[in-house]
Amino acid sequence: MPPLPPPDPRMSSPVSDRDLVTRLWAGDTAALATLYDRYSSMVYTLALKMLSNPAEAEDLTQEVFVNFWQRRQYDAERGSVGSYLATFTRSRALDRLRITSGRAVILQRFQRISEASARSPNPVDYATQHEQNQHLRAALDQLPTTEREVLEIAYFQGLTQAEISAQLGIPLGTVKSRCRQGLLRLRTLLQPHKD
Amino acid sequence: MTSPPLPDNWRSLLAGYVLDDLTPEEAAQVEQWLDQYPEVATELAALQATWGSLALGPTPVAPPPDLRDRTLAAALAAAVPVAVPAAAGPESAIAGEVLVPSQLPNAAPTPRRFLWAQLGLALGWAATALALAFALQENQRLRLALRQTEAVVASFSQPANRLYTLAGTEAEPQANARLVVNPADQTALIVTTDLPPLADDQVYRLWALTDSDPVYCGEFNPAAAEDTNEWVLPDAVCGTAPVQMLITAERADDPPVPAGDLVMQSES
Repeated sequence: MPPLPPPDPRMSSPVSDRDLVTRLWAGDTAALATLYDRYSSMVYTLALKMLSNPAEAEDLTQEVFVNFWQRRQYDAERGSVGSYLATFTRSRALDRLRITSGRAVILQRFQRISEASARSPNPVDYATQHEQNQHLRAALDQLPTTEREVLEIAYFQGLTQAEISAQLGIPLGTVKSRCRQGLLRLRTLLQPHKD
Repeated sequence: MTSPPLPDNWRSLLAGYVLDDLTPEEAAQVEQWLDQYPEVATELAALQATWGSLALGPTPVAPPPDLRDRTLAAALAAAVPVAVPAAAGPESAIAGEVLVPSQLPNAAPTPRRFLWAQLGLALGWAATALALAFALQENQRLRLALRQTEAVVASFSQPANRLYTLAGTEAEPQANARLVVNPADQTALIVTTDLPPLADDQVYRLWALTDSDPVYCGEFNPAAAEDTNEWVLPDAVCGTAPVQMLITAERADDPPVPAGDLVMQSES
């Protein structure tokens, strides 16, 4: 089991993410610093995982937080800050991985799906973020390696199932069934935590 | 409920919907179910959340410590230029006014209206001159604002710089400021908003609060409610370790010891 992240001193006197965003929109730039302290590790980790390049990951992390403030597209009614930042980070990381125009449709579909996901009843909220990290990694550890592998390639590399099939040298139908089974199994493993 | 029962593989198709591996017909079928079956919408949301939670799978890696300052500086720098296009409005309007009278010589007044036309022309040129003078003055002000903005942006972009956000105390609750300390050049640059200018014999003084007594880090007096000031730091401590920054209002000829009202302080 990976080591627990160090305790965050801000946990003792937490200000809700929603309040922080309200303050940030009102011009309180200190709120951005607090949000950075809460989510930069998650954003950077995801960026590093997808881009495999620390300098690129740093650049993307910076872009994510600058955009968060500058574009103000986050809507608290539609999901948590964590979900939004994760979705945005992945989307921009995929952009940087030079997703070809032929996959623009998939990206659009992804955006549609991720918007719905942001409204899901399982927000990645800061208060439970560390706990969820632990729980998710434990659930991933229980997935069959073959299912976890295809899911992670699809998520972190943004490859289509056909591309995964070519990369791994296994039939497309196998990739499809492993992806679906893996996702359904993971959903079941996470179930007790969600309810 | 009169809806037909869902097929056995409905969850598999939902997973395919999230993974985007359905045929158009299958996707349409799922979207139809979403309208008919509340449990389908609930399950889809759960599967989408599961998919999204993969972001938390990798073991957390802490970003480099200096990325925090760089990111906040970049965010603030990206926000600063917003004020310039807003200020450009009056200039554009003035430029428009200038053009209209200048086109008067091209008009062809009839002889009977010659005097009136001459008078109109003269008035037009007078208006042009006034508008040009005003436009030049406005341009000068905008250029100054732009230079200040560029200085802020350039300063923010230095990775070694330390950035502080200061908020007004009870003395000036509406005030806020962004302070950039450049340890390499030993300079400070502050952008103040809603911090009122002081009388000529008063100044705002910046203090670095370290473990010992407050260290004097320079002074300024904004010319307007929103202004930018830059100066050389009088003490190296001001540009070193992260410290809390304070701003007090003092008499200009007082010794560098904080005695006046505390008007602003940094957030940490």
